[in-house]
Amino acid sequence: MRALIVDDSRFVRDYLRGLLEIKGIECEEAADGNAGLTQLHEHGPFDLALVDWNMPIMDGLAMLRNMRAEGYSNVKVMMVTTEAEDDFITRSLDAGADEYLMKPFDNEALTEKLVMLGLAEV
Amino acid sequence: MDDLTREFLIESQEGLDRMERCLTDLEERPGDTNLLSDIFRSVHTIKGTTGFLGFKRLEKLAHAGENLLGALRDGKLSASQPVITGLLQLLDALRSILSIIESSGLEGETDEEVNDSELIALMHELQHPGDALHSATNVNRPALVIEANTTLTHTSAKASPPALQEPDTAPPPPSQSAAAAENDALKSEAAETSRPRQSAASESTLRVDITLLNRMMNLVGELVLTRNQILQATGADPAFTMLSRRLDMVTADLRESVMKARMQPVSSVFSKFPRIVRDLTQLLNRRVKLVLEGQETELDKSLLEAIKDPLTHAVRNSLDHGIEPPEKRIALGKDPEGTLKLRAYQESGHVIIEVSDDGGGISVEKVRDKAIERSLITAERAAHLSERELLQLIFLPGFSTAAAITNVSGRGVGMDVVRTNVEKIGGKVEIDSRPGKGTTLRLRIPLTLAIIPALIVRCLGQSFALPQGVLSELVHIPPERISSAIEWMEGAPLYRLRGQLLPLIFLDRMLSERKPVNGHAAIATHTPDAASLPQRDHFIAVLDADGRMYGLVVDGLADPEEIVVKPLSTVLKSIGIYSGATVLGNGDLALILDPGAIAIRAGVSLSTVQEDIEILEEEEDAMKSRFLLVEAAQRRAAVPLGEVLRIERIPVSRIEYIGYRPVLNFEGQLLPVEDSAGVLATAAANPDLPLTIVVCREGNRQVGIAVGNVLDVAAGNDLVEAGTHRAAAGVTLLNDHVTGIVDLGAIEPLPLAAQAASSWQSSANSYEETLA
Repeated sequence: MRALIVDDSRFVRDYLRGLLEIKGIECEEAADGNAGLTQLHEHGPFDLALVDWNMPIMDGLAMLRNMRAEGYSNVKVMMVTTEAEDDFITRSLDAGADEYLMKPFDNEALTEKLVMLGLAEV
Repeated sequence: MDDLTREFLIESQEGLDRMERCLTDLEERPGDTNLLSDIFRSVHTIKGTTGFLGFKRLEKLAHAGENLLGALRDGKLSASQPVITGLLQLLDALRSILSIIESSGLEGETDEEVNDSELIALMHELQHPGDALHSATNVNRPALVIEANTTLTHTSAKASPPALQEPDTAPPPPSQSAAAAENDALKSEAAETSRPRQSAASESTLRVDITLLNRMMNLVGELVLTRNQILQATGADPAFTMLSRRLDMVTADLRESVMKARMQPVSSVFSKFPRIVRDLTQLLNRRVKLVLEGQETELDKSLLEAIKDPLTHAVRNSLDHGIEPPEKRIALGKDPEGTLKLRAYQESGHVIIEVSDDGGGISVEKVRDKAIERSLITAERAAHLSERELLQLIFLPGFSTAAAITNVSGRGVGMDVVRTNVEKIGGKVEIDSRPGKGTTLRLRIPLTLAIIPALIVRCLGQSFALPQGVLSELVHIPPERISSAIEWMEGAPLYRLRGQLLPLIFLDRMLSERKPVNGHAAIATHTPDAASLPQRDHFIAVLDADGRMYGLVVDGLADPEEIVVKPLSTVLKSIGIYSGATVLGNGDLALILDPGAIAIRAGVSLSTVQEDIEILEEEEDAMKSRFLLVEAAQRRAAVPLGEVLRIERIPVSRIEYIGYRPVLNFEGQLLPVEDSAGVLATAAANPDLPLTIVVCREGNRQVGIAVGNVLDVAAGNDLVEAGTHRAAAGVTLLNDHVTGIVDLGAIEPLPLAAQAASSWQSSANSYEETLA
C-alpha cells in the first residue's frame, strides 16, 4: 500500500511517515497542494492521500477538488487539519474527501480512521 | 532530545523568522493578504505541531496569536501599529520558549506563565478592541501593554468596526485549551515511544549538523597538511611527481567544496535588520527606508555569526547619529525618509559588507574636539591631522560621538569594539564620511577562518606562524648595523623606521620570560641593552595589531605558507601569546603568534598610535616627493613611492597576453603590465632570469610596470621650468639627475570583458595562487 502525505510542515510529514511506515505503508511526500498533484501524476498510483488544509501555493481543499476533477477517484483522501470548524469538514466532505483527522492525533486516532477507510485492521 | 523535537524546533524557528520578515513588510503594506496568510500559517503550524509534543505554554500562546491573525487575515481587523507591536511581542515570547526547549528539552518555569497570560490577554484585546476598556483596569499589566491598548482604542477601533460586532468568534477561555492540551500531551507521549524514527529526505537539500561540517573542515585541513608534506618530499621520480600533483589538485577541489558547504548567504544575517530598523526608527523618531543588496553573497557560517554584532552596532549608529529626524531633513532640503543601505559583495577573496546612510555624516570637528576632550590626542597633534586621519580616531577605545548617552548606541560600546570584533576574524574596517551627505562603513571579511596565509618566522630554533593580515613590512638588519640601527630609550628598544620610532619586541626574550607569579610582573632573565645583542642577522616584522604598531624581532624568516589553524590545548592557551597551532609543510609544528596579545603583554600602548598618525602624515607628505628609481633598457625612470604596493620577482612565463596586451594575474586580479621599455622581449630571451614587476596603485586600480632593475629609493626635488616658475610636469631631479616620472594614469585599462572574467574567477585564482 502507498500513501501520499501532503503537508507544509516537515514535522507533521515526518510524524505521519513514522506512524504509517510502521504499518508497512510506503510513503511519498509533498509540501503543498500543487506539489501533491505533481506527486500523484508522476509517482502514483497511491491508495491514500493525507492532505493538510492550510498550505501555501495551493491549499488542501483546492488540491482535493483538482484531484477529483482529474479523475483520481480511487485514491482515498483523508483531510488532516487543526481547523475545528464544522464548515471546513462539511466543505471537504462535499468536495469528495473520505475521512478527516484532527491535529494533534496519535497512532490510535490515525489507525481508527484508517480502519474506517478499510485500509487497516483493528 | 529526539529527532522529532529537533525537527519541530528548526521548523518553528524558521517559521518565526519568516513571520518576523512578513511583519515588518506588513507595516508598509498593511492590507497585503498574502503576507497575512503567511504570518497566519507560521503561527498556525506552530500551534498545529506543538500539540503533538505537548508543549502547553507554546500552544496556548500560538493559539491566542492564531485567533488574532485569523481576524486579520479575514479582514475583520486592520493591521495597525499596536497590533503589529503586539504580534512582535508574541513572536519574541514564542522564540524565547523555543530557545528554552532547545537548551533544556522543557518549556521552562511555570511562573513565566503569568507573562504568558498577560500576552494572551493582550492578543484577545487587540482582537476585540471594545473589551480593552473593561479588562485593562482589572489586570495588573506592564506599562508597555497598557500603552499599546490606549493607542489601540484610538486607531484601530475606528479602523475596524466589524470586530466589535462579532462577539461570537471569541476564542475559548485559556483554561479549556490548557486542559485539552494536557490530554493531547499524554496521548502524544504514548505515540512517541512506540514509534521508530524514519528520515524524510525527499528534498534535494539536506540538513547537516554543523559539528559534522566542522569535523570535515578539520579533516580537510589535515589532508592539506599531508599534501604540503608530500609536495615537499616529492623527489625526481616523475610518476610520483604526477601522483602528488594530482593529489594536490584533488585536495584543492575538496577543500573548496567543504568550504562551500559551510557557506551561508548573508541574507541570514541581513534578515534580522528590518525588525531592528523598525524598532529603532520608532524609538528614535526617524523615517528610514532599509535597502538590502547582495543578500545572496555567501560567507562562512562562523564568520556570519561573528559579524552580526558589529553590523548591528553599525546600523544603530547610522540610525542614532547618522540619519537626521524627518523635520531636520525637510529643513535641509532632503527627502524626509532617509535611506540605510546594507550591501554585500565579493572582492578578491574577501567579502565586503557596507553599511551606508544618507544622513549628516560625521563631523570631523566634533570628532577632533571629542578626542581632545577625552585626552585621546593633544590639541596640537590634532591640528596636524588630515580630515581622513581625524575620522579614524573614532575607532580608538573610549571614543563615542554621542552628544547625549541614548539607550540605543551610547552604552559605552564604541566603534573600537566593532573594529576589534572584525579584526579578530582577520577582517578590516574602513570608514568614509561626507558632511551632509552620509557615512559608509565598510567591513572587509575573509571568506574563511580555518585556513589563513601566514609568514613563518624562526626564533630560538623553533618555527612560529605570524598571520599575514597584521604584517605590514619586513626589515632586515645585517650584523654590522645591529648596534647603530637599534636605539634604546630607558631600556626600551626602538627602531627608527623612515623617521618613525617603532617600539621593538624581542621574541626570544619574550619567550624566555618567566611566567608572572601571583600577579607580579614578569622578570626578564637578563637586562636588555645594546651590548647584549648577538652580532648576527636580525629581522624585524613590522606589525599593526588592533591599532598597536610595533616591530617583532625574530632570528630568521622562512616562507609564507597557508596554514590550517588548530585549536590550542588549555596549557598553551594559558600562556596567552598564542592564538593556535599548525603543522607546517616540512612537518614541523608551529605555534601561531597572537600579535595583539604580544603587544599588550609587552606594554606597547595605544598612545604610540597617535604619535604614529602624526608621523605617518609627515611621512605621507614626504612620500609624495620620494620615488622608486628603476632602470629599464639602460634608461632610468622614477615611480612615485607612495603608489608602489609591491615589487614582485616572477618568472617571465607568468606574464600572459590578452590580445597584444601583457597582463599579470596578481593575487587573483588581472594587472595591465606597462612595458614601454621592451623589458618583456629581453626577458623572454632569458627565461631563467626572474622578471621584476613594480605593482602600483593608480586611482582605484592596480597596474604593473615591467622594469630591468630597481636601483634606489630617493627623494626628488621639483624642477622648475626656466622662466616660468611652474613645476615641470613629468620630470624630477633624483640624485642630481633629471629623471622622467612614469605616468601611471596613462596606462590603458584592460578591455572590460577581461576584467569581468578576472573578478569572476578571482576567488578561485587567488586560492590557487597561494597554494602554488
